[in-house]
Amino acid sequence: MLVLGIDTSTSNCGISLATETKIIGELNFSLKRQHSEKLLPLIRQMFVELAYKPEDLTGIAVTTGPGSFTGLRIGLTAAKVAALALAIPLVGISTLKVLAANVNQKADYILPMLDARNERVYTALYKSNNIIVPESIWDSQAISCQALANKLVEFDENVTYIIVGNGVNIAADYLEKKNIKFLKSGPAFLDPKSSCLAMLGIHYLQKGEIDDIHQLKPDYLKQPQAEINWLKKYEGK
Amino acid sequence: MTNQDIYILSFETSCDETSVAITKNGLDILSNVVASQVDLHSKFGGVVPEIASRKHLELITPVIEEALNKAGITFQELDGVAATYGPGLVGGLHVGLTAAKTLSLFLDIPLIAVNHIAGHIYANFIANPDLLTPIICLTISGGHTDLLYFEDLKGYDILGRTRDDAAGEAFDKIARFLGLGYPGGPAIEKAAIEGNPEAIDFPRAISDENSFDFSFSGLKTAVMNYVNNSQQRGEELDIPDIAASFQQAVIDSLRAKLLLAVETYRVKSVVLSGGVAANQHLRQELAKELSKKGLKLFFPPMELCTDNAAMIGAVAYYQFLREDFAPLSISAIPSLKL
Ligand SMILES: [Zn+2]
Repeated sequence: MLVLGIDTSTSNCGISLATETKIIGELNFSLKRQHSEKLLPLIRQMFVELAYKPEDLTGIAVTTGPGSFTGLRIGLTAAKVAALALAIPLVGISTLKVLAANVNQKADYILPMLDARNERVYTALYKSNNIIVPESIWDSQAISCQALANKLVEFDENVTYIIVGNGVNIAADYLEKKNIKFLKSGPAFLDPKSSCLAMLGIHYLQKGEIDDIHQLKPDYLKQPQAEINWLKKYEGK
Repeated sequence: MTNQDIYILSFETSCDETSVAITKNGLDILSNVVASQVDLHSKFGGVVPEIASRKHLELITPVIEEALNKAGITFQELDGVAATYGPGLVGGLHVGLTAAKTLSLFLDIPLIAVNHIAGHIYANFIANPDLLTPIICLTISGGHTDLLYFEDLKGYDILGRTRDDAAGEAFDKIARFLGLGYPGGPAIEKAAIEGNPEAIDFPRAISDENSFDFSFSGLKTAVMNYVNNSQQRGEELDIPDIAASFQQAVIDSLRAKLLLAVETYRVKSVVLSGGVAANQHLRQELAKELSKKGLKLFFPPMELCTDNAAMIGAVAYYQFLREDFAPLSISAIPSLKL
């Protein structure tokens, strides 16, 4: 199995190539807004450097969010169209799960979070279980830092949470005020790693958990602003 | 260049239509699938970029598959892949352009980046392959109002443009203002059928005889002032009359500059392109005026007037022939000009 991982869900533009036993190549570039210009040239460069051809691929894994709307669309467009053109299976994986999969130290729970602006984060809760795939406790959600702190107190205030992802700096103050015990991870854990994505992809593809190319879409976790405004105005929601 | 047939798959995602076409040797359309999102946006009175972008992503692979199936072509038979890279809404452009780049890399075929406005113009060459040059072309749509001169099909000079709103933009804004709905072009045209185009004297073209430029913001303001003043006086609005008079003012403005261009350059054909070119009243008025000068007005059939990928494929073929290819690093340019 040879799987291409594509992650453009945050400012990180990440691509990787992996087999069941090995990460063959990985590029993670912090790019801000240039994903559309860089993604395909970087994929080509990786193939060239590693002397692989696109036809060698047997699967594609892509992050489905949450994350930057534009970034997600660029990654998903590339992943879906590539899978269609090569007629190979595609699997979409939560950005938060990819972040959690990067944690390999012993802890009770892993709390990945991404900055959703306005003192809000995109988050989910995983149990660390010493295998490749973190066990999902909470689904992905957009939540205010205040509400998250309250929720964690209610969930279990006697455990330690490992926090990964770029939302950590926004949420830390709120969690401290509630005396929640957590470990802040360093810069290496702020962005999703495309190698973790590819390894998760291989895990799911081996189990036959494949997504429908036409149906797979981003997990935006937020309606378009125009839709929110319209509902407020006309349906009082 | 060998004399083999050239098959190109093209994307058009610059606004609210997700379209993929397969063309053979440029002007021969094997398939032209257009998935319109117009119903999704109508309640907002205009295209909502974020909603459009989301829909483009959902539609992109089903539309590719349908275009290939209808054409009876496989990915492996493609010689090139093209996409609109501007002008348009950046989120939509990203989807089509990224899809094209992906096919270019994964199928190892050249990438062709096409200007959307050129696509509208070349739609005419699909429909009327016997068109004679030199040509004057008037492109009118929601995003552009351009008057162009073509010595031959390979290139063109820009004679004039709008200095403010595009003609289609004016239609959309006035239609929304009058509560006629979206898209504005067909809504105004429909409302105007029962109206008197001479009922209200709205302002016309830029009077400068040396300029081929257009302006519609003054007209737009005049219509809004007229409506507001009437309402303040408690008068009942005659919507058909307002729509008809507004439409007539737009047509008169366009006609004045088109005729000025036709007189200045010795052209053999006049073509009309862009979404607003679908307006029947406009077509009739311009055709009538041009026939007095012994000129025929060409316009693409209805299905090629709205945004579609076949017109992108037509431009892409000429670019393919001269090896005008784009690198994988090309970015979308929302405000791209001709
Ligand atoms: Zn257009």
